[in-house]
Amino acid sequence: MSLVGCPHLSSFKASKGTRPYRIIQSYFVYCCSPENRKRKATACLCHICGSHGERLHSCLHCVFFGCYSRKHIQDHAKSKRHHLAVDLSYGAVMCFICGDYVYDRDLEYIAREVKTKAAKSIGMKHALYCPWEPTQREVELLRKNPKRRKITENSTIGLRGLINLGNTCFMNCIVQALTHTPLLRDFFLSDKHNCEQKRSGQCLVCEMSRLFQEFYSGLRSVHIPYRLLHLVWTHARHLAGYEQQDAHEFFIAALDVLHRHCKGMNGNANTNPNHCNCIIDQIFTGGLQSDVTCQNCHGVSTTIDPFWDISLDLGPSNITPTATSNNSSTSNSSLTTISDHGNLFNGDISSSSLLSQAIESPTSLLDCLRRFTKPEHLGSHAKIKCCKCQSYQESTKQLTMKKLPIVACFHLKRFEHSNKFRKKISTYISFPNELDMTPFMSPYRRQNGLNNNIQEMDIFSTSENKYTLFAVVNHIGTIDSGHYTCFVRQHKDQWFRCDDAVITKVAQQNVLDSEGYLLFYHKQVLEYE
Amino acid sequence: MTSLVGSSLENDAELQEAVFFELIDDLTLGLCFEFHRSCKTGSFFHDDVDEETMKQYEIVEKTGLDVFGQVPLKKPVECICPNCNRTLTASRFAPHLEKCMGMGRNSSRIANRRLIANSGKVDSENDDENEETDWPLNDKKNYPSKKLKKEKMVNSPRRATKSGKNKNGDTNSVHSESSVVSYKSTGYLPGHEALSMEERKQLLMSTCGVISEHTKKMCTRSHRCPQHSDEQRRSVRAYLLGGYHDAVRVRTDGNLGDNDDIHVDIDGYEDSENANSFRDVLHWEGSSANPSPADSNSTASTSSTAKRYKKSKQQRHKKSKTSTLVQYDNEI
Amino acid sequence: MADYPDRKVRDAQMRATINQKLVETGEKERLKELLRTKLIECGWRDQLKAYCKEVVRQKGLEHITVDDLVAEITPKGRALVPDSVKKELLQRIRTFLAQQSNI
Repeated sequence: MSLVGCPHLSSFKASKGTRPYRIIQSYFVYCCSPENRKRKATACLCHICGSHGERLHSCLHCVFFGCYSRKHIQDHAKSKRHHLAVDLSYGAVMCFICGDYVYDRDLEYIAREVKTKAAKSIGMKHALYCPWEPTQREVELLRKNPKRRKITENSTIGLRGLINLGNTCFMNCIVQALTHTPLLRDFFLSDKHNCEQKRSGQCLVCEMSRLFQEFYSGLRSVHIPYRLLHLVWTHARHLAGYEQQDAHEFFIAALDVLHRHCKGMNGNANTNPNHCNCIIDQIFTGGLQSDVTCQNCHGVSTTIDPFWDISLDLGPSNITPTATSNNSSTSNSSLTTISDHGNLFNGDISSSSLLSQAIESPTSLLDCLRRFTKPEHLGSHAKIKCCKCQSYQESTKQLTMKKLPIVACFHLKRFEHSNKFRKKISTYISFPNELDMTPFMSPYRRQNGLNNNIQEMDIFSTSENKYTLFAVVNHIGTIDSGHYTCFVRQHKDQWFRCDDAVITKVAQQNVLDSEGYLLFYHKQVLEYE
Repeated sequence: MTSLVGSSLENDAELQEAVFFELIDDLTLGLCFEFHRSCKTGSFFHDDVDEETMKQYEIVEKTGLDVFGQVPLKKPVECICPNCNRTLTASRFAPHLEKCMGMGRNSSRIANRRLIANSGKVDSENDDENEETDWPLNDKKNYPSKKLKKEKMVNSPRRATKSGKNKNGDTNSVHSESSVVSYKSTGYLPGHEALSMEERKQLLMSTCGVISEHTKKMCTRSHRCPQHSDEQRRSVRAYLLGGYHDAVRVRTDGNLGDNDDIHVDIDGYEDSENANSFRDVLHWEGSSANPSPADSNSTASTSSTAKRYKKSKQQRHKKSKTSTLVQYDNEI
Repeated sequence: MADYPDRKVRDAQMRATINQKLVETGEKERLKELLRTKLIECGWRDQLKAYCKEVVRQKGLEHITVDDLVAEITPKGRALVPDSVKKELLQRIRTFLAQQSNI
């Protein structure tokens, strides 16, 4: 069945076109201007009983509003022989001869167009939700292949052990983390990678695609990721060599290769060299803002750099705490000044505790992030030429999150390499299941001076910056010898421990109690783009 | 009408609930349209799961068994090396591949050359020989066929090499005479030695190039790689290129620890005609204007002064990039 | 206009006024979108879909009408909303009403 409406709607369209529908749609269903909204607010009442709810409909033939629940629109249709009416909540078309709503492709196209425009006019940044709909061909395929596998609470689908190829547990862990990244999984399982060099066998993205199919195929046998290792080593030569075994390094290198290969496939890599829209960038790339504030004129120089991971120091800080008193005057143009810093943690943490935290070792992920986003005094040895006052001055630098990635990877720097010693820091760092990144965001700039509160309040404000833990890579052992394992989350809060070929179920608490080396968080709410 | 909306409304829970349920009903209606429509298009039941099929995927939670209800694998599995097409035990694939691709410390100069010549295939006799002779270089307990369990435990982020080269106590000594000697004495052949001067130049123009003291391999990240300092990059260039180093220094020339030098550097670099033309030739900006998050900036909070210099210096260069990034940010 | 025969009529009037404000400001669409996201997230939509499937199986795919579905699932829709979502939305509604009273 296709979307051709019904004979009655077709003959209406033939004689009057789609214009009446478009008018109703844009004036009374999805309004694109304040005037239209005002009109809708006052005029959209049942002409018989005056109610606004009760499934109000508009007659498609004449100017008449009537509610459906109390049968006022039905009465109108009968008495006037106006058999088509438009639902004013969604714009669906009712045919009273057929006795049901009918769906017409042309009208739906108009509805979608108007709806998008309307969403923009009320300041909704993101496109509206629109359910997935299989194409004609997909419907056919689905009909021919009726067996579906689903990730449910008690199914092993999506789980697969990985053979250790000879000290390759560092890779296995990253593979487990990647294959359980919800958005990446959705990308690959919906077959979104269109490779131009499919036959070359050289594309790592294709290999990832195969890997996802392997993982979600329902097979139970261990998978041998030898082709993946070969491809990564081929494309990231600095990793090739079997004694170099940092899971973090492998993760970054793998993303780098995947990102490069995605680019090659798009063919439009040259359109914007600074921003690539590949799936890796869409999921993993965030923007880190660095504000350098001149101590003389308080001018701020801001740069934003892309990042894939946040490396966090764990050792005691030997940085002298930033003087938080010299910020009385702030320049107008500044985005971030030191005084803003106080606001970031208002409430629970006083500035004095902030200072003491700077000296002590962090004990939680939040501590680490606070330290990471704390203004850092660059000292008298690091004078920088200020572009505002044109002189060399001492300055402070602060890093903040300008744009949050969909997947945030935190790397706890457990391995210390200094001139004198190399050691592993095994201190326990607590990390939460749910993480709110709001305190670490670059202070939100108001776009206009108008105090339009409703406009200012983003509809996702309550959960916009919230994350949920979905994978944890652990390192067991010392700096010289050790083993990597990984915890992955599946279907809400089901956790599994992946130790190469062996997958076992664990309680969430086991995950939260583990040491933690790489922590993977996924954004809770995704905006439509 | 406005008078109706008095402050009391904020406290009228019943009314608020009524508004809430109006919204819920509205959304439910939307779902009805959606489901009804998919009935008409024939896709409503397409996400149905066959309960029978799902039964076989149930999770097993028993000690000694994995989630699939299997005993952990005992018998070795095999795979075919994509490089040489030989069949081998999967658990020995990584060490094999390392040699087969001619990489890593176990590789021979010949293998390296072969790779450069792009021959791709490793001749099997030679490989077998290597396999026998290479292993004793490792700690005995690492021998995979003997103790698989132990082997697992060898993993670490930067495993110590047993060459004793750390006794230098200087991370920057990679380029120094003594460490070069130590490479040779321990039989390790760093990959860069096989490279010609031309190849080295080519490599250093686009990569960081700092030679890892553990793996003897050159870092292949960009010049902005956060793992190594400019100082290290300068050193490795001095070491690998000798006199040619002056020409390739461009960005890595920040003389650290001396304020005067930095002033000169900031003002002199951008405007220098020399530097500009050189950049064109090398496509230098190509790599830096297109920053990859692989050169993670996230380590920027380290207290190393070297990094601060670098950051502040780069601010000028980054300006154009920043503005585009900000713009892109607003778009989203 | 001062006296209303009973509370029911007065409430209906108030709801009409509030609805008018919600539509006028665009807040209604915003709230709906927020609610939709929340409800999809918490599984509300999936639950209702499962229920709809039963209904459709009973009535037959060819004969099912929107009215059938509305009659069957509207009460379910109300009942299955998680308290946390309801609480958050009520808070938003309260905030909105407070802002409107200042006009």
